[in-house]
Amino acid sequence: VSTVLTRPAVGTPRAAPAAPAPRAASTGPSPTQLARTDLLAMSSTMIPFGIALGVTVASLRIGDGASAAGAVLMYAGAAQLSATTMLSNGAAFVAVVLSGVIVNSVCCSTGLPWSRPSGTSRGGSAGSGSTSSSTGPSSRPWGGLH
Amino acid sequence: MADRTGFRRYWLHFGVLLLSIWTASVAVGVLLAPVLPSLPHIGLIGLALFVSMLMPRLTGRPAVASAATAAVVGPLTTLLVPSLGIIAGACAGVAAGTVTARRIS
Repeated sequence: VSTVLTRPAVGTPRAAPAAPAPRAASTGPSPTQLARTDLLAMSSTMIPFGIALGVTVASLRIGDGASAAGAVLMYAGAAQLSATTMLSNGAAFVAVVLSGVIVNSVCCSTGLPWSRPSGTSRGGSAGSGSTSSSTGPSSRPWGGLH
Repeated sequence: MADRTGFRRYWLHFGVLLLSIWTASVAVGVLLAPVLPSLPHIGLIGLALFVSMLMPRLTGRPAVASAATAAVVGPLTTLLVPSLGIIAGACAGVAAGTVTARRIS
C-alpha cells in the first residue's frame, strides 16, 4: 500500500495585489487528512497483526480484561505479546518489564546500523512491526514516524 | 506557529486513531478466539508474528549472526531460567551482531 504524499504548493505564481494568492498551507491537505491517509496505509498490516495478537493472547487464558488492558496500556504489539506470554507463564514482574522494554527498544530492534531493514535510512517504530511501514509520514514538513 | 499547530493536530489525530484501531483489532481477535477450533498450532501464531518481523531485517551477516545467536541463546536460557530467555537472547544477539559488524569493517 502506498501513500500519495502531497506537500503544500511551493513557489506558486504570485497573483495580482487585488486578488492575493491563497496561503500555501491552505492548498494542501490538512494535518487531519494526512493523519488519516497515513493510518490507512498502516492499517493493512496493523489490523491483521492486532487480530492475530488478540487470538494469541486469548489462548493464553490470562483473561479478556488483561488482554484488552494490554492493548490500551502497552500500545505495542510485539512487546504486548511477549509481556502477556511471560505473565501467563508466571514470570517475575521485573523480568516482564525488562523483556517488554527490550522488545520495544529502538536500540535493539532498529537503531543499530546492521539491524535496519533494507531500503530504510532510519529505523521504524520500535518493535511493534505494525507501525514500521516505510510509507509513513517521514516526509511531512513537521517530521514523521521513526 | 502554523507548523507547530499542524504538528500537534497531526500527531493528536494519528495517535487517537492508531489507539482506536489497534485496540479494536485486538478486541476482535479476543472475541474471535473462542469461535476458532482448538488447533494445537494456534499457539504458534505469536512465533509466526515475530518471525515475520525478523525476516526483512536479515539483510547482512551481522544481522544473521545476531538472529542466529539469539535463536540459540534464548531457548537455552529459557530452559534454565524461563523468565530470562528474552533478555539473554536479546543481549547475546546484540553482542554477536556488534562483534560481527566490527570484524567486517
